[in-house]
Parts: sequence; C-alpha cells; structure tokens
Amino acid sequence: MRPVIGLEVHVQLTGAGSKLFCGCKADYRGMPPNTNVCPVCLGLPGALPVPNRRAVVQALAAAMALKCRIPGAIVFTRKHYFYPDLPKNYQITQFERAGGAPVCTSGVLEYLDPAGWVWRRARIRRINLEEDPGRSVYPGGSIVSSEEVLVDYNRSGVPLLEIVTEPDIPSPRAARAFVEYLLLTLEYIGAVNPRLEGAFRVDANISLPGGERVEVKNIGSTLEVERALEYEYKRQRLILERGGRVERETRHWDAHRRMTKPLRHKEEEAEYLYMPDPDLPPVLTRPLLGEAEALVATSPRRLLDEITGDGVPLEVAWSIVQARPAASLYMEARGRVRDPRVLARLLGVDYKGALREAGRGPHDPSNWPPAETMARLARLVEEGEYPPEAVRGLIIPGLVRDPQASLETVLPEKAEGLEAVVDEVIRAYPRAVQDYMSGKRRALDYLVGQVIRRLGRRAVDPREVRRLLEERLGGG
Amino acid sequence: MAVEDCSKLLSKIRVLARLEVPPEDCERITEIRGFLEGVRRAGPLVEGLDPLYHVWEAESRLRDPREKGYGHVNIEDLGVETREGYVRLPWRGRL
Amino acid sequence: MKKRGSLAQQLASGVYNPVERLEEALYLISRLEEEVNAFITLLPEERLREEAREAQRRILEGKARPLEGVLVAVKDNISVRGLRATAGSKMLSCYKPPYNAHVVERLVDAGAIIVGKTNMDEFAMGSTGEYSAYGPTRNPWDMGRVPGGSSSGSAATLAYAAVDLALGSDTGGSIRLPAAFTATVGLKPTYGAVSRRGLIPYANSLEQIGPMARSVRDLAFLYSVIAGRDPLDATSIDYQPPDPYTLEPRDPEAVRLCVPEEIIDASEAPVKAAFEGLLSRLEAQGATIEYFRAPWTSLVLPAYYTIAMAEAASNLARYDGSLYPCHDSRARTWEELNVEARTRLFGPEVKRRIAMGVLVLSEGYRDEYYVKAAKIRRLVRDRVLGIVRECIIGQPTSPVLPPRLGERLGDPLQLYALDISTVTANLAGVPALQLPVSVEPLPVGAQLMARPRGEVDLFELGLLVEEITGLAGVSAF
Ligand SMILES: [Zn+2]
Repeated sequence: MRPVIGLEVHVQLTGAGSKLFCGCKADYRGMPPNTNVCPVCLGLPGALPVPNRRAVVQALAAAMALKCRIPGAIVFTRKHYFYPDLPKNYQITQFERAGGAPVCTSGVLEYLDPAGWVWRRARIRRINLEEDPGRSVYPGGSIVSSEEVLVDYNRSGVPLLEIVTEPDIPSPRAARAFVEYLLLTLEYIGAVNPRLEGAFRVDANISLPGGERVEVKNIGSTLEVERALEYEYKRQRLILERGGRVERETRHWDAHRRMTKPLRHKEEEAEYLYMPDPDLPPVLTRPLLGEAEALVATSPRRLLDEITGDGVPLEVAWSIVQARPAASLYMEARGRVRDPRVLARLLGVDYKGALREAGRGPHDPSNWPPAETMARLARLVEEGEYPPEAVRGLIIPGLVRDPQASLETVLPEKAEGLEAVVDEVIRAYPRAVQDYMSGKRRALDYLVGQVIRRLGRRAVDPREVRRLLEERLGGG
Repeated sequence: MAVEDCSKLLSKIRVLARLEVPPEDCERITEIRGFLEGVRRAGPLVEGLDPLYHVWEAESRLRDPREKGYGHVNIEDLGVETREGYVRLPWRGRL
Repeated sequence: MKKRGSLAQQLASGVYNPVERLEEALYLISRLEEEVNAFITLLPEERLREEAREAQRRILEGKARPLEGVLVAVKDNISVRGLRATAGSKMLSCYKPPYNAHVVERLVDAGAIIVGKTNMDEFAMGSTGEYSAYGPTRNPWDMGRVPGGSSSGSAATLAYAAVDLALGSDTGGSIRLPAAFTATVGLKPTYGAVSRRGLIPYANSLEQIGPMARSVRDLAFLYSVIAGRDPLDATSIDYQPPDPYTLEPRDPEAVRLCVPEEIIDASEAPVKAAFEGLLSRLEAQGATIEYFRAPWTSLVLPAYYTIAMAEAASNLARYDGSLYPCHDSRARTWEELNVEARTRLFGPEVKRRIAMGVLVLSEGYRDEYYVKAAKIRRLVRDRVLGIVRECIIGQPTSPVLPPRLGERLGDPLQLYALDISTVTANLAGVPALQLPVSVEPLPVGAQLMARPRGEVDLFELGLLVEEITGLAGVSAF
C-alpha cells in the first residue's frame, strides 16, 4: 500500500532582519517574553503595517527557486479567527479567492532523496507570505485541556512562508528528504537558519488507498516528519488491513510519546471572512525581481551539478552542499588543485566528520579553515606527501582545533626533530636492533612503534620514521 | 428574511464574531440586511469592474528592516495580567 | 451668535495671546461643557495654563512655531500618548495608547495645545453623536438638537468656541455632517493625504483624519500642519498641502459648479432653499452653475455601509477582552471571555454593524454583498473623477436640518439616510469641504467636492463662499 503525502511547511524568514510589518526583530530567540513587541505586532488600534522589503524579496526568491508563477502584485488578505496568540484576531496573509494574490502559485521542487540517491519531484501548490502568530504556552497540560494559556507575543508578526505541496510525495522518508531539501534551498537564499529552534513547522496529510485523508499537525523537525508519517502510515494500514475505515480527521503529533493523537475538539467548519487588507496597497513584484534573482543564484542544485561535474560522487557532493561553508570553500579552492575529488573528500568527508567528532557545527563558517589552507592540503595529499591516516588522524584534527592555524603548524614533524629520537631508540633497544640486523624484519616495526610512542602526541608520519631507522641501521 | 433565518444568523454571529446579538434585534437586522441588498440594484452598471479597492492607483511603500518606527511597548502598561512576563488568559477553564 | 476674528490672521500678525485665549476658553467650558458634553477627557487646567504661559513666552521671544499656543481639540479615536483614548466605547474605557498618532506628533511639534479628547459616536459609528458610551453631545446652536456625528464633540466645542481648531475623522461624513449641523468648517481630505497612523480604525479604506475650524483659512492652517507623507502609513501619498498664507478667494467668473439633481431632490425644503440661495448669489457674481444627473446615487448608501461594516467587523475583532482589559470578568474560558467582553462592552449600533459585517464577508454572501459593493465603489469613483476633472461638485451637506435628540435613534435606516450626500467622497477618495451657508433658523451647510489633491480648489472656492455668506468665524457662543 503506497501512501500519498502532501505537506504544508511553515518556515520563518529568520534572515529578514525585522518582523513582516514592523521594526521588531525577526529573530526573537533568547529574549524574555513580550519584550520584542510594538504597537503594530500587538495589533494596537491605529498601528499600521508597512511591509518589510527584505522579507518580500526573500519570499520572491523562494518563489523563483521553486519555479513558481509570480503575480505582478502581492495583495495581502486578512484571515479572521479568534485565538489568544493572534492579537488582532486576524492574520495578514494572502488568499487568491478573496481578491488576494499569493507570492507563488504552481511551482515545483526537485529534491534529492538520499535513500537511493534519486531525484524526486513535488509540485508546489502555492506559497503565502504571512505573519507568524505569538507563542502560546499551556501550563496546565495540553492545548486541549489546559485551564489557562500564557502568551508571548515576541514571535507575533515574524515573517512566515507557508509552502503547500500537491500530494506528490511517495513515502515518509521522501517527505523528510523534501523538507530537508526545501530548507536547504531557503537557507541558500539567506532566508532562514533552519537550525534555530522553532524556525519551521510542518503539517502533513497522508492517505492510503481506500482511506480518507488525515492531517497531522505540529511536527517540529525533519526527523519527526518521517517518524510522524511512518507512525500514521502504520496506523492507517493496520486499520485498513483489519477492514476498518480511516476517517477524515486532524491529528496532533506528540513528539514526546512518538504518536499521533486525534485533536479532541471538532474543528469548526473553516470560515475565515477573508477580506483584502485595506491598510496594505499591493506590493508590485517587478521592481524586486532582480534583487530576488540574485539571492537564488547559488542554489543547492546548481552547486551539486557543478561539484558532481568535477567527478565527485553524489554522496560526497551532497555532504558538501549541506554545509554551506564547505560548499563555498570547495568552489573557491577547486581551481587551485589538480584533482577536485581529493579536495571534495577532504571537505565533505574528512573535515566535516572531524567537526562532528569535535562537537562543532559544520554550518558556522568560522569553524572552517581558509580556502588557501584547504587547497594546499589537498595538493599535499595529491602529491602523496602524507598518507590518509596522517591527514585524518593528525592534520585535520589540528585544523579543527584552530581553523586559522597555518598549515605548517599542523603538519607532522619532518626528519630533523625525529633523528634524535631515532638515535635514542636505537641505543635503548640493542636487542631489537640486533634482531633486525640479523634479518628479522618485524623487529623494525617494533622500533618504529617505540619512536612514535616516545614522540607522544606530536604529529609524525610512520613512513618517515621507518625511512630514518633504515638509514641509520644501514639498509638491512 | 424570515425570523428563523435571523436566528440562524445570530448563531453564526455568535461563532464568527464572538458576539451575542439579542433576538429582539432581529427586526432591525432584517431591515438593515434588506437595505444592504440595495447593492444588487447595481446590475449591469458594474459588470466587469474590478472589485479591488486597490485599483486606486496605489502601491505599497516597502520598509527597510533596519528602520525604526514605533517604540517598544511594555506589555504591563496595557494593564493585562502577566505571569513571568507572559500574558495570562483563560483557556479551557476547569474541565 | 458671535463672530470671531481669524485665528490665522492673529497668528500672522503676532497679536495672538494664548494665555488670554485659554482663560476665555476655560470660562466657556465651565459655563457650557456640562450641558454640551463635547469632551470625554479634558486636560487639567493647571497643565493647560502652564502650556499657554510657555507658548506666550515663545511668542514674545520670537520663537513661535506655526500653531504656537493654539487651542486644539482632538477626537477621542485619535491616539495621544498616555492619554485615555476611548473612541466613545466602554470597550476602551481604560486604554491609554503608548504612542502618538502621526497628526498628534505634528500638532505637538507645531506648538499646539491639546485641550482634550472629544466625544464621538462609539468607534465613529453614528451620524448624530448619540451613540457614545459617554452620553450624547448637544448642539450649541440648539441644545435640544444633535450636533451630528460621529465627530460630534469636535464640532460642538468649536461651535461654543472652547477651542479654535479641532481634529475629526471622516469615514462617511463624520466630519462634514457635524460641521454642517454646527455651522463650522470641516474637510474630508483626499484619501492618503493625512496619515491614519494612530487613528482607531472603523473602515480603513474609506476614512481620513481631517481638520475642523470656524473659517476656511483657519482650517487650511491646520491642514497645512497635519497633511503630508507618513512613511509609516502604507496608504499615505506624496502630497504638499496648499500654503494657507497665500490662499485667495477664487474669481467667481472662474467658478464652475456642478450640482447633482438627485441630492437636491433628496433635501428637505429649508435646506434646499438655503443651498439654492447660495447658488443664485454665486451665479449673480458670474459663476457657472450646472445641474447633472447622478443615477448611481441610490447605490452609494448600501455600497458604503456594506464596505464600512465589513471593515468594521474585521477591525473590531481585536477587542476580545484580552489586551484591553477594564472590567471584572467572570469568564472561565477564552471563548467566554471574548463573548462576555464583546457583548457587554459594545453598544447596540456597533454590535449591529459587526453582525452585518460578518454576514457580508461570509461564504455564500461575500460575492452578493461585499464584492458587489466594492464594484459599486469602483463605479462611483470612475464617475466622480470624470466630473471633478471638469468642475467642482456642490451640494447640501445634509439632506435635513439638525434632528432633535432621540429623533433618529430608533431606526438605523433613518440614521444611515443622513449620509446620502457625504459618503460619495469617501467611496471616491476625493476631498470634500463643508462650510456653513446659513445659521437661521438652524445651521445649513454646503459641501464642495474636488479632484484628488484638489484641496486648494476647495479652499479658494470656500473663501469666495465665505465672502458671500459672511459666516467666517461664526459660533453659537
Ligand atoms: Zn513590532
């Protein structure tokens, strides 16, 4: 039984600088409750919205990246419903059927599904640019049972993209891949940092052949997209296999218990009294398209194509593209190396792996060395100067510790310092030396080991030690 | 508009506007509704016209995100009940 | 009846004395305010006296700003930081705006003294001033009659001369109708010419804040201070108001006035007589008067009210008992809180308009009502623009003389009918000036409508009309 999945992804434009219609911060994280508020985002009477230019440009860039039809004018619409975190009791959004015009209609996203390394395609129904509501906390339990609600309006008015797909997604795993790829695309635009807490939320609807469509709300991470849909898929399949009926309903994802639960109170027939917002004349898109286009110039897809075009395997290219600083480094350094595949491996596998091991984020550019360092390292590796173990075990961890360090300081020690230690070891282990001289070649391995041990944590290339020992002991 | 239509309307108002209009008002509401129906008399006069008020040659100004407009508001000044900075409101009540 | 000299002239010649003027105003307030009920909030006398002394000092030092020490009343739906703004509603009886309206910033910067916040129909929904939660305002020309609404207090206080300038707001005639009933001058500006920032909204796409005064020149003075671009109002336009110093009455030979027959036909006899009297005197001086048919007139009221109610239902959704708390609530749930606050604290007319607004926006009705009304607005705008390109439209501001208190209260449709002459300017977005034509036996006003940004045409013609009527500066006390 193959499921049919459609997604509604809400992504905050954390990179928009200010809220959508006022000067309060778009990134409110770490601020005490209700300290990022002004008359506009509290909806005080007489306070008027003025659209944030950067948010509009980013929304248009998203529409371009998703190959949408973009209207000549964006028309904002009021959508009414009473809710404690919605200070005006209407949300400013877009709605085409009430004289509004969404930022995007009929787009498409081709996304990479790492399970099998295939490209998939999902149609985008529309994208709305709208206000995020405030944040509600239900101290006495859950949304369905709490006696009271505590509201923080810091989030109220943060620019939000609502991206709605057609039901084109074939599996829970693919749904996760879609969301990851979508977020990456928006990150490349500079619109969102998806790693910020609460930067995106997903509602998913899923149906199986013979069953009704079920909507799952409140999914907060890409991993949970897969988990929630997997859970829902199994739940529905079980019902159908037992001859039961899957009713059309809305369910709530409980990330803690890892299960979906029916939203107990029946959703009222949606009636939102849509009306074009009389405070907001249309925003003409044409004058902004050039600016938006510049933001879409480096898309993940374009980079993937370029990198794999250098002969880099898709998995490695994907790993690089997922960390934007790695992708920039690759593009900057690729012209300075003979074999870009070596560079790609250093960046996408070795260095990124070392960052993970060291508990450092691959998305922070300051955790990566300059392009020149990486290019020189790649050339040394190409020339066989250092074996892979030395690169992985010594050089890269050194750079991870201090990305700005010059390459020399992290390269393994060469002969000079070594010679003294080699002589020391020859004096200290006369029996091993004798064994070696009498033809027991494995005694040399023992001596190499002793040299390395005496060097302690200092970087060294074992081949170099072996060469020095052989030289001292006269060939063997 | 018949009286039962009006009571249906009143329950709609209760849900959509969170407002109780007394049934005594039905007569007036029915009259006003009849008055507003006057827009139908426009007939062919308005055929093909764009209903958007935006056609008023308007175009929205856009704001630089760094621009400061209104000062920040101290939520306590609105006289709302707060707890640890959050605005405290009733939700589902005691079940 | 009394006639006062032009404030503008006093200011220009440097003879204006804010301290003396304030004392006179405070005397009039002490004598008349209790009966008229023009103010919801008055500033403390001591504070006003201090401001007047400070203004006087600046004038003597030659540092006077354009409205130094001028007494201004502000309608209670316009935000003044820290000063209660009720909009005539119980819902906002504790609300103190944390910011100034754009026009208030400009007033303060120009040196004006804000005397108080004036009474009004609740959320500006009303045409008589009787729908205020703070009691009705009376007409100083006849205390048994209404002063018109919704800017009832601003008009009434000008008519008893407690202030020299006032701010009102006009959604469908809310400045012009009370100005007509109180023999004062009021302007509904071109849509977008005055910032709405800080105006507690009723119907955003229709309304404008506007100036009120007792003469055209004084009004032009206030207008030059409040009009112009506000970057924080997205509907604000780039616009330079006329210079009040250089305005001259228009040459009557150059006047072409177009009069819609439907509005004349809808006016009762004394109104018609007074207005036609003005027309014949204008004609005698060489003006061209033309009558035209405006067959859309029967559509303007339903269209206007449909749009206004829809926007009202939307704007007033925010008053849900949460961020504007001012009453003992017994509500246990969020929904109960909403219903309790809205049912208890909104007045009957506001409730009716919200109810109708919800209806005209709801599925199945939107196309039949709201969208049709919006199309009619488009039609009216197109037709009116066609006419005002050629001439100025002139018509009586109100079809009737000021009604008696309570006379129109029982029947909302009777109330809405008062707006027949005024709503067209709001639907079309064009400027409209009301000024008195006669005060005997009761005030009658004329309304002039011009092209968008054509306020200068209205002022010039207005000055000519004042020369004819001799009513510039008139007040009841
Ligand atoms: Zn804000």
